[in-house]
Amino acid sequence: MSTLHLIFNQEGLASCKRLKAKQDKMILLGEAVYCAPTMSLAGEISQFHILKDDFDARGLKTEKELCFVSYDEMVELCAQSAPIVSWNA
Amino acid sequence: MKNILYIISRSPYSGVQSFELIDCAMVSAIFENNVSILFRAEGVWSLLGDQNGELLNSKTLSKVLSALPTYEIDNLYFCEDSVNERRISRDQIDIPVKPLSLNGQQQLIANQDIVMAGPK
Repeated sequence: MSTLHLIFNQEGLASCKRLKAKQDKMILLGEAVYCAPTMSLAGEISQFHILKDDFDARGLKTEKELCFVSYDEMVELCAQSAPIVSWNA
Repeated sequence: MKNILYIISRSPYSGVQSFELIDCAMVSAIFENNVSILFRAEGVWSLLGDQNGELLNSKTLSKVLSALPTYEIDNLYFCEDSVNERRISRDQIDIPVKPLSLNGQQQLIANQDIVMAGPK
């Protein structure tokens, strides 16, 4: 099983980036979706899944191809992963 | 009649704080105060159009904001630096809100009788 990181805000993203292993999966959700449009410039965004409802609810837009997931897909990713780490600071 | 400024520093869906501050602002305006609202720091995310709070079982903040002129709240400002830092372009903002430099924000605050900012 691979590790899954759930990232809830900008501080969480910074912490996770320092501690995650290369092959780990990551999901940006909640406040962390605000990081997605600016990150896309650095080309690093391809490593992340982004919860679509949280992105759309906030009125965010992007021209980059982001890897969006639905709630159902997130549940599936969680079920396939262990451990799951939540980052909010 | 008093000059009252509300400062919104938090992003819209991390809690109900922004909604509550806007509610207060509307009530202040009903009682014939001269109300201004300043969006700064993470609060500038409130200004994006096309939000959909229903996806999060919430009210939609951008719709609430578009009602502000009905309450005669026309003094809406945002911190120019906060918007630039977050690479928000002006065409993503679809309510009539004026940019203010840090200097402009200092003057705005100095002109108030009351300033309301939520706890951080």
